[in-house]
Amino acid sequence: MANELDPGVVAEYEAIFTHGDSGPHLSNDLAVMARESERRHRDLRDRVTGWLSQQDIDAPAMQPVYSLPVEPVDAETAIEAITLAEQRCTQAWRSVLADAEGETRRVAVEALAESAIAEARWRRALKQSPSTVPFPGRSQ
Amino acid sequence: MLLGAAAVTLSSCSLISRDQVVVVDETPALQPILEFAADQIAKLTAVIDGGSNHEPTLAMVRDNHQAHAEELARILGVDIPAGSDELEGDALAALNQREAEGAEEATTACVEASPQFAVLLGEIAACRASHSDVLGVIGG
Repeated sequence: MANELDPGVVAEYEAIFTHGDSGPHLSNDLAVMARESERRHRDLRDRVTGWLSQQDIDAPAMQPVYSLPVEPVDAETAIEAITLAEQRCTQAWRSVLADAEGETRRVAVEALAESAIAEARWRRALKQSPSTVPFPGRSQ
Repeated sequence: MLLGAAAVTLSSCSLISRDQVVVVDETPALQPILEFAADQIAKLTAVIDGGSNHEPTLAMVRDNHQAHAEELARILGVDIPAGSDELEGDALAALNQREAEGAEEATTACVEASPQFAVLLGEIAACRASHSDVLGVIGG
């Protein structure tokens, strides 16, 4: 059964896959950051799917492979792939807010906050300014 | 429907010069969120004017609150109120604590809001969470 949180869950799956594919191309601080970022996405996925299970709602299944908009083949494309994955997570969690209600919306807004933090951390790591944005997930 | 029953078009009203649609807030959720943003703008301005070493970060955070305040004031059809610049103790720590509290406040408001305002309040909650994270990095 589909649920309002599906787009966010799928975006988290894609982000986990992206980090796994991109991490080996990174070194030093960025490699550490990619591992930490992947762990946070896995934690968020587990919390959301765990909550769905408690509500007797099926989460979408994670696929073994995802087609990425950028294929990570070196450090530059790895960063680009991760950055796009973080953006998709933020956009996905934002997109479900209007249709979700009650505790489902709370799950979504808390996930959106985590995604906004993750996006900002990558911008800081990449020396991009500003690192935070006023309306996370909104098309700039 | 809120926009059907309670929305008031004031573009031709002589009392308000703004050419826009003003939505009456039936949720009571938006006004305190606006007041918090106004307070943070005042406090951040005071800290920046006091000669903080973290002016770029604090100005970025203030700009985000300014964007929130402008959007909320536009929706409510009011002016942005003058905020309080009072801060007790270590300024960065106090600002960070307020951002965390503000994120919680906006999260709760998002969960309780009508669908029309859920996305905006979720964005604000996520942005405030990212503020708390970045203020923590610079010692708040």
